[in-house]
Amino acid sequence: MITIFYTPLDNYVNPIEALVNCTGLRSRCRMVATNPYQEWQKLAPHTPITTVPTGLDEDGTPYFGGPILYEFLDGLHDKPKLFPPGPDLIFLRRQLWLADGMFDQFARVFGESMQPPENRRPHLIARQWKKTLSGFDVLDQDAKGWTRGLDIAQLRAVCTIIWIETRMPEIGAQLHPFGIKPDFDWREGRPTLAAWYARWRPNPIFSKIEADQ
Amino acid sequence: MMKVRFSPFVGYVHTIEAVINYAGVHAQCTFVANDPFETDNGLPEVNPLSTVPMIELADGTPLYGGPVAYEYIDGLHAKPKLFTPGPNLLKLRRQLWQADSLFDHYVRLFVESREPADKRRQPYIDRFFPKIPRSLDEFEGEVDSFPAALDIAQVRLVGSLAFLETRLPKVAERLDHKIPTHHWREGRPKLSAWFDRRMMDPIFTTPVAPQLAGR
Repeated sequence: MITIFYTPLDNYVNPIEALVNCTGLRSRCRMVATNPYQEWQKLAPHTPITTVPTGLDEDGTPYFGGPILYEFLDGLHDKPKLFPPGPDLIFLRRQLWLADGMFDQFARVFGESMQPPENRRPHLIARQWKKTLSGFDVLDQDAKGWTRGLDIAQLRAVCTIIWIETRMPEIGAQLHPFGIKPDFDWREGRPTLAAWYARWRPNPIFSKIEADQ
Repeated sequence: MMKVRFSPFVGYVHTIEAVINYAGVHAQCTFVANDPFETDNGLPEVNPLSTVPMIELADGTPLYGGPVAYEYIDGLHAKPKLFTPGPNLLKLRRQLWQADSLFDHYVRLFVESREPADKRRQPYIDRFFPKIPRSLDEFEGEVDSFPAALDIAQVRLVGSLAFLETRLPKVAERLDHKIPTHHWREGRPKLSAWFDRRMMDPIFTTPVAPQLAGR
């Protein structure tokens, strides 16, 4: 069995969940719910940077860094590849880097929203929020080429948008003094991305997985 | 020509420079000094994450994420590949991720150290600092199995260690020693010897653009 440490969150679908659904690997994976803040000791024997998702193959070989684990799992199935080989793969990796990076940048905005108001850092909020908005603009450009099957960048982008969309009300409620509104709609001015998202979001691969432990 | 954006530092050769030195593609590059913390240098317009290094191809296509830029450049030369094809490529990517993270975790501590002392977040520091020694310890255990031929994980690890060597003690100082005054070589003789051996390769000591102002 492959072991996957991940963090199930309410109203969110992790890319690792979507990937396991998409590739049909569920029966080969033991899904272990892990909070990397409170349970980092569970991760430390396998990954020095104690991040999720982290995977272990049958031999215990670790794969960490989300994109590394995604690529490992993508090598284990016979469906069309999410990392399709070929000369365009390097550009797909750039798109994946953006979608992954947007999650991380927005997570820092989220982190600021959880700080007591007097401890918040306006410069950090402004900087990270600007990256989030700019990221949406580039995703809108990227979506012009997302007209065929799913690939790893698109899968990651759907999950990043789910994350941002579901967290906006609570973040906006906290950070509206910084110009971040609870009703922020990323679709405004980004019709290509909006249409692409409307096409993929209902796909059942973007469903949560019940953890095994 | 492709445009290579990075942050030159005095006395430091970046991983992107080492990769370009290895690949011998200087003639295909123009170099631009960018501070990722500045907003008026054109970087945010081509990279929404405002990170360096990155490259812009001749047609303006941007490639960012250090590993993405390294891999593109690695496709431009005819020497043995730094992203060594074969069954160990994923392990190599994992090692690259880990070596890259060493640098990133340092940067997080550096950014925190720039906050006023009474505004710093000790739980954040306490969470990120231990990732550095844990990662170094793991590399100490792995270094004997590194291939003799240079690969991208080793190139990135040299770059991260060279940075930590001079800068981590300074960050400890700026953080009023609320992280251990840590030298990465202590207790890691194999990694230390490997690093010294690799640093004899001029790809790690030759700036690609000495005319760029470093900080």
